[in-house]
Amino acid sequence: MNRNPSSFPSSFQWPFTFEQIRDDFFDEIDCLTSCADHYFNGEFESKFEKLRQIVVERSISKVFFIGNTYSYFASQISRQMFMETARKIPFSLYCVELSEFFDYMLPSESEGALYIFISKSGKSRFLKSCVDHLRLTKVDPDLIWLITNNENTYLSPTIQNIFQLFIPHEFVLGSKSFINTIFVVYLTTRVIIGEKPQSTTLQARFSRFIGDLTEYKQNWISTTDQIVQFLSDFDNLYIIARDPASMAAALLGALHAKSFTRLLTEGIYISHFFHGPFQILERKIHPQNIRIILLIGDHTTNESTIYRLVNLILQRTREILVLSNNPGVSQILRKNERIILVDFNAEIQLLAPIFEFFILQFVFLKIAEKKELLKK
Amino acid sequence: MLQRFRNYCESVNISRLILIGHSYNYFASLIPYYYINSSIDASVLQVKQVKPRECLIFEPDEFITYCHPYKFDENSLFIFVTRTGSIQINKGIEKLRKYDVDIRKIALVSNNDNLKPLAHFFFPIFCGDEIVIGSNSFPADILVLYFITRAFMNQEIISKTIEDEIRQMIFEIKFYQQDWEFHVSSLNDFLGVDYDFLYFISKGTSLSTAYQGALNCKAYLRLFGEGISFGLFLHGPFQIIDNSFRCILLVSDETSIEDTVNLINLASKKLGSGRIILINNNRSLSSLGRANKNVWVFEHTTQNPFLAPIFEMVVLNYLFLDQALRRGVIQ
Repeated sequence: MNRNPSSFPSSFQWPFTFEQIRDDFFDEIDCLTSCADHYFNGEFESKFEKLRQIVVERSISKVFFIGNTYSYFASQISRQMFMETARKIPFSLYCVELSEFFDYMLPSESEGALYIFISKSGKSRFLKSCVDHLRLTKVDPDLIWLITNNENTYLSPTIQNIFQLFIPHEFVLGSKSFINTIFVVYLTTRVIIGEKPQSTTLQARFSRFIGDLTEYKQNWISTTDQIVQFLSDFDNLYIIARDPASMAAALLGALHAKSFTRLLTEGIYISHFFHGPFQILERKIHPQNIRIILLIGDHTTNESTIYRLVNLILQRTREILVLSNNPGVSQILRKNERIILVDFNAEIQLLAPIFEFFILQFVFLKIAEKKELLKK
Repeated sequence: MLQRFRNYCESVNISRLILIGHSYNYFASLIPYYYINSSIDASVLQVKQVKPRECLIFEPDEFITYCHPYKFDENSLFIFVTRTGSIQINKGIEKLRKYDVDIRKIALVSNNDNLKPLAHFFFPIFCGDEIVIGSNSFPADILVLYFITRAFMNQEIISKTIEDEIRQMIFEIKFYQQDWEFHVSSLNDFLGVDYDFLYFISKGTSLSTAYQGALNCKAYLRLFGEGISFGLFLHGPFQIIDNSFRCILLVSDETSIEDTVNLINLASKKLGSGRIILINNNRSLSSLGRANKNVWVFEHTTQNPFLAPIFEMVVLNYLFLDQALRRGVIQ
């Protein structure tokens, strides 16, 4: 299981009990709200304005979001935002895993790119090496940004544009930080693509999102039990993402499933699923122990397309679980008894991975408890 | 055609390639992605970037459903990679035409000549028929995309060195194929069949092999497999390492060798006595691997990291074939 000994009070030591982890997951909503309060209350208004000017005035040709594991996964949100924007923007956007960036993408000279590093601790070896290299190649300091929980990182003298994650502590690495990172990536990407990161409409929609998350938290047991029952004694699990943003939740969900339950799980994009994993459902040995969860985070998806794809999967497996943020899709899928549907409401579609992950993490925790992998 | 493509890119100042392809076509597109976007390998290979160029890759479904083409300026050129063609590829091209993208900025890499009218530039891959999807077309895609990329970078497309390199690689592959049963038998004796999951861990251009290998592993061998980068593996699923852990490490360049060695030690000594097959083209890394009894080293001779995945995939395909026989998936 992911252990994060440096960031929570010294009185807490691994392993933790089910209740401790569950309560920590419950805290995620307050932690996200607190982070949003900081960003919405005007504290960051001038900073966002300054950053917008940087993007406009420096003729940026590329934007890199660079991070490890959950930070990298969270950056998938920006990829979808870049794809979807109808604005004419003069740059391309890349989400790159930190060591891949270090090994292959470090520029040999200043190239007019904007580098946004994401690191909760703000002190990884690769991060420091990357920033040092960028400074050596005389990259404009204004074009190196950092999303971190550690405002006082030793890199802060060299990186002026820091976005804080506002996470007090977390037991499971990548739980609160994944959620808050998605939110901060969402706002920074809005700045970059020329959309206002703060508005009363956005705040109102965000408040409703928090309200829906809170409502789910109050009723988490029944849905979690339903999903756990569906998964039962699975050997392998596929978490399939329909939209690029949901890949964030699929990838981290798979990682948590492996960490919590020690069962082999893969997060995969829907098109890739139909070229490989799909065929594995035909194998003779224990096909019934393969489970599939489909994440639909967007409202764009055409209902008939999804219905066709889900039916293709159902031809080879007993049941499928769908987490849906798409009312049209939900309405159609609900009619099929072999589809276990959990619908949720994320009005800001790019934040749907937060909701998807929020649902999934309780499931894996519950399975870990059932398998007696947690401290009693 | 390649020359014409190069001249066109130069004349209208094309600075961004956007590649769109399914599964193995998508994975093969990682070759141009790294060739164009990566700086370190570019300097090693003495690629001279006279002006900034870049490469984006999309999966057709995400391109059709989510990508708004308006954002791409007149300096972008779209390349669809598809063996036979598909509804989604057609939709992707239709989408571009709907947004008035100049047909001269649409190219196709395909084995299907009937698709020619859809694009201004048509690059055949000459891969013939294949029983296992991607077996012939994945290497053919890589080769053709490599040439296209060199043309886009305004380099000599097939220099004498490149031609010699490719001919040598083909010779080595044929040599390997003559004795494949012997090679693979030893590999699979080492790997065994007593495992349920195979990791394909890699970085850089070899990630294309890792992803394609994982896909073939599932589609053809009916065994669970996952392609993953070094960085993600080392910060994530290493918790599942135990004595039954099996993985294929694919390395085709000299970046961060220490991290490769660390990963090998982690999987084969520290967290369990897992078994690793290391497919690489680096003598010193091979020596380090051979010193570990839980590592089986296969060293090939293709030094060019943009072509190495072709050799890597040949080795994997034969490995899968023998595994499929041992597991009774095929007869």
